[in-house]
Amino acid sequence: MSAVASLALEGWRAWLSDGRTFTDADPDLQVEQHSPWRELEWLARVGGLTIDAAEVFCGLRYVRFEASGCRLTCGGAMHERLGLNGGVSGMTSYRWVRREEKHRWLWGICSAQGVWQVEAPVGVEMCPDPLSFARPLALSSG
Amino acid sequence: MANTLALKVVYNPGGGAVLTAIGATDKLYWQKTGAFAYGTGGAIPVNTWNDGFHIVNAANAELCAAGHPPNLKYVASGTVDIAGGGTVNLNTVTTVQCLNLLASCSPNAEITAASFFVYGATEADVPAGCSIYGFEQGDAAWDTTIAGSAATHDLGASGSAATHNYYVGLSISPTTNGAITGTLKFSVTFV
Repeated sequence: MSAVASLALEGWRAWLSDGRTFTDADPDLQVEQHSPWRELEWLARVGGLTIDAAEVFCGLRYVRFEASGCRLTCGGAMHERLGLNGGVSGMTSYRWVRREEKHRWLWGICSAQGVWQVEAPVGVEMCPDPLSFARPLALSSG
Repeated sequence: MANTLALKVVYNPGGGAVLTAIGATDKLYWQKTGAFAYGTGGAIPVNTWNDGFHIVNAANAELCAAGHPPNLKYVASGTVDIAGGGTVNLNTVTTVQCLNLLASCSPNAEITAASFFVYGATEADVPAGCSIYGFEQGDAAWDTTIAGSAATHDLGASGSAATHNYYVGLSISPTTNGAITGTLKFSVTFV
């Protein structure tokens, strides 16, 4: 883990099968406009390696998944809500790690407010929104 | 290492028409034809579509008095009335006439999924008492099913970059009298 990455408040960290560890702030993964995760996947592929484990973190909260033979992916999600007549507004932001199992995609999601693990159908790229199922949303008032 | 979503629209907040962020306590306000009037004075007649679009603050004061964002009114499946200018094809709406969702990613990220929808009491519910249609800039037809989480409008994926822009439009028609409440939700997933 680089010195820069160790200061990050949120992001991901991944372990390759050769023992090396990378974060999304690692200079080796900052290539042109590329996504650092996609760059890590490319590094693993050309090196004949696998991504054995990955974690996402937000402050002191984190979720770590082992690959267990499955593909891992790390990323983020943002949701913007705007009350059309006032009320609920604002953005929520999450970090997630996903293990792509044969019959389900398992999502580990974290934010500054909590950590969640969610099963979702295979192939659905939209990260589940914990706020959607954690509690009913408040109504805007007329 | 911060990622942000910002909703913006072009209007004149004073000093000229510019792409302006919609603040956390601001509201989108659709009304009937005529000068800005919040509440019953501006109420859209039942089973007709919006003829005015305004941005108001938490106190319901108009923020766009110097120049309104373009009103996009549903006419038929493939047509729209832009700011009262008459009926034109929906796919002629330009980006500056739309709501702009800007996703900023640091480090750069690839958008793997993006969508929007409008909901009522819960995300699964459609807003009561109205019809709401939407489109993404460039679409040839209105999406008449953007209400409730089971009917999101897919905004697609996009390649890796620091910023990603989406442009959408909405039109609303009350089906009953009274204030309409709902929440517009945009979602972006990135790698």
